[in-house]
Amino acid sequence: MTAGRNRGGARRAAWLPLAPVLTLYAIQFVVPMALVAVTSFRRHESAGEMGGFTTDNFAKVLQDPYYLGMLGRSLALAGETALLTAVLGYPIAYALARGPRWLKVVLLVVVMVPLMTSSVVRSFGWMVLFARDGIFSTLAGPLGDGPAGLMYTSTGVLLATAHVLLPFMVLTLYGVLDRLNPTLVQASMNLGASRTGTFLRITLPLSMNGVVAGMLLVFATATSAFVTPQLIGGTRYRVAATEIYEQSINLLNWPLASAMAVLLVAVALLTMAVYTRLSRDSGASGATGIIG
Amino acid sequence: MTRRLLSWAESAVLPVVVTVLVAFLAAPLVVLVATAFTQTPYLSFPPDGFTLRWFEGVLSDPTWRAAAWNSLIIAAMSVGVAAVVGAPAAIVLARRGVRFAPSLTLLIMIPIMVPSIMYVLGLMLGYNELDVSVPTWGIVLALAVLTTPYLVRTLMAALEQLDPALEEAALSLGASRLRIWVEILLPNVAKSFFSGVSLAFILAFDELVVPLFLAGPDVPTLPVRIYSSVAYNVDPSVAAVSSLLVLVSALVAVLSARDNLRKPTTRKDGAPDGGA
Repeated sequence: MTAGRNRGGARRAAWLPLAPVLTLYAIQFVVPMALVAVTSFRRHESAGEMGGFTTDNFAKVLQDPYYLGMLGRSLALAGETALLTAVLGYPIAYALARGPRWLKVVLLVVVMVPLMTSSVVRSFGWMVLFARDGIFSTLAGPLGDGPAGLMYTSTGVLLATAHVLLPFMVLTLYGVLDRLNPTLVQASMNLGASRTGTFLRITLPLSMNGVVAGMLLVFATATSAFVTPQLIGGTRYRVAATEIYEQSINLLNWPLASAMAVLLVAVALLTMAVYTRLSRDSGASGATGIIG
Repeated sequence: MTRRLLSWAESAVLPVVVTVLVAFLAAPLVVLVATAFTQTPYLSFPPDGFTLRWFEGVLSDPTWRAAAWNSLIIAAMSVGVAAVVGAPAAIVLARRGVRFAPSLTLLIMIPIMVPSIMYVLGLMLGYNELDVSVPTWGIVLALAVLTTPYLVRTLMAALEQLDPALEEAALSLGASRLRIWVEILLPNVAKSFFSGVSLAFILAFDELVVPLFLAGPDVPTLPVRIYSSVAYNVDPSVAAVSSLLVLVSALVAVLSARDNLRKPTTRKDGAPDGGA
């Protein structure tokens, strides 16, 4: 155990190694967050000018159908992405946990390459696929709006966002599936259950914690996804995060942008709080990574 | 007979599904690499003809080179800052050297739970309040906050997994505390630390939101430059740059997968840090 644990002086000195990180966080993280919180209550006078304090920004965001729709769209996108990544991620994670070694390597590479590629590049790839007269509009015509392809549509944004976040889901699920005791499956098969029956009655229920943890993680990340909706959705399919960019960078309405950001952070932190509690209980900790 | 047919169907479902999903994961990246070879002056998939001129153009274009250089320098500096502030914290927290260590660990993880758009907006407001344009080190520090959690977590996990017997044996054989750290503990976690640093570097290198909000096109990093090309005037040279980035990630991924294969047990927590 650590030396000097019982003496007051040494105790205080033990905090010293934490000083740099706490200082960095205070200046670069706490202060900016506080600034956003304060700004969300300022009055917007004109572009880049702010007046006294008011709650108008929140009233506007939560009542004006335009902004409310934007928030709703962000939450819907996040929910759909969480569901889609769970459905798509489960088979990959299952094969990763149970498959032969060569398959593990292949799958690991296929999951890791997108994870380590900038989401700008990945969204760009989807833009090429979704383009008007691109192969996707030919192959998946009925899904999109005919020959116009999937650009600027909710389906397009959903598919691309799911692609960006799928690796996190796979890694979270893999962590849980890999830890499942294989003798349970063998016992079930020995007792005459079919593969499907064993999967539905043993494997799936036992990995449900991981599914929920992965969905929460993806949900929290997707609510504030910026890059993919910006590139695939453009101005025609705006979500909260892209509207924050528009309001703060182009229109210089900082109070409104701040109010939207505060609401997004509230959603993300609530989700992450549930996630942290859950993963602590089930041991399904893991891919708390956010590349959005 | 039906039973056998059923079990055959059962065993065929997973391979088919997994193949389709692998195609889904690979599709946008494969498409980019393919379009980068097209002879047409616009993006076309499937590519029309074969040429290397987009790659040649990109590699000799000073603006793309400057963007790549900016990205490398900024990512390296921010990971450097993250390592300097993160490593001491990780060591103390892994050893439960202070009170409230679990809560402090959670606190250090918060930047990856908060949407980066929130505090980047705050930083922008802050620099605006001070009436200064964002300096390059401002981007470095913002990215350091974003990457510190990954570094701390990787290093803490490695330290916590170390067998305490190692340290006890060294102590009972009369080694000093310093010597234990330098000769036993640090060499044992060096590999995990390196993989944490690599992951942090990749994240910082790929990050768009931070440089886009803080500097815009003034200090174009590679993702910012790609973003503005894609959003305003896209041509196959952007696909060429993107393919080069995909190639780099593929190399790193293959190396780390090979590494995982060699180890008899893979990491169990499903964290991406196992193979960065």
